[in-house]
Amino acid sequence: MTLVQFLIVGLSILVLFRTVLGFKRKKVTPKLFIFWMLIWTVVIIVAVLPQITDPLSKMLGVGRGADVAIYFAIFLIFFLVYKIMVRLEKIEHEITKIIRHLSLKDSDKN
Amino acid sequence: MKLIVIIPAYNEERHIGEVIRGVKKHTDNVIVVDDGSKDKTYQIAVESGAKVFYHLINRGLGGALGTGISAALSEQADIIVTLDADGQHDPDEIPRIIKPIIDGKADVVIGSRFLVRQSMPLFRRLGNPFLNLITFFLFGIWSTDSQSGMRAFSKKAAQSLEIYTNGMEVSSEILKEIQTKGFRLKELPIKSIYTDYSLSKGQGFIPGLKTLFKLFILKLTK
Repeated sequence: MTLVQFLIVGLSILVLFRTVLGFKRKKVTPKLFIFWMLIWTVVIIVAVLPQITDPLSKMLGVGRGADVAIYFAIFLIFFLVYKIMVRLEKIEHEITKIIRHLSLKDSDKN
Repeated sequence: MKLIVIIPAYNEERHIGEVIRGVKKHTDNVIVVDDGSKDKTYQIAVESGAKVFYHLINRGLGGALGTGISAALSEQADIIVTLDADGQHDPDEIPRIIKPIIDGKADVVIGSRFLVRQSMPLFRRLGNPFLNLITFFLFGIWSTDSQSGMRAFSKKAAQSLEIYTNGMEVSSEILKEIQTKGFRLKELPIKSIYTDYSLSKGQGFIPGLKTLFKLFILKLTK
């Protein structure tokens, strides 16, 4: 194993361990738990056996399997950022609803 | 017909009093939404005779307009006008912009700064048409002044208007609502009084980009 592979596997195991811990402490929902377990398990498998992504890279017409993994990772990050932005907008909207309610209610007293 | 004028205000102690007095020449019903100001906006607005609603936390233009419209509707408004607190709009233009609604010819009127030739700082002259184009491509409705703060709504339009956004992007969201709800829109030319002060309160480059980004999120989610 190269140093890079060693590092990726080590970090992934650490993250997996923390996810399990979070799940046990009920800080991670079952849905998210399964999602993160799958993601990091795939990361470990691809890091140890990069050649298994070769059929996928041939199918997609991308040079190397490792590149497919990078593309996928970038796509995933974009997707997650988008989800967070949407969630944030929703929370902002809900804060506004609370503030509006308070503001309208307060003025009734005047 | 009961006319209620809504003035969203955030740290506007310098001009809010004069704007309220100007509006009072046309209606006694003035609602100021103080969007969490840290200065004397609240006191000055109350002293000037407006009904003031206070936001504990600053929510932005969209949040303030939503509160104002809810309040105006619960006070049985027949026509609602919105205008800026920074003194950019001339309250004497109110009778003219509500006329199409009184006559039953429009549900929403937007006061456009671009229908007459008038001096405008270069950045505004370029930035506004750009946001008009973005609004057109995202929501399929063309306005000569998509970012205008001077508008008039019929009661019917105000009741079915659903505002989701909090910030400056609300101006484009209102146009989206006009389009999806099928309101009749009329644009009338208005003067805009640009001072160093009103310019500092408007959208600069970075807030403009933020508005743009929020509009994309709105398009993708709603």
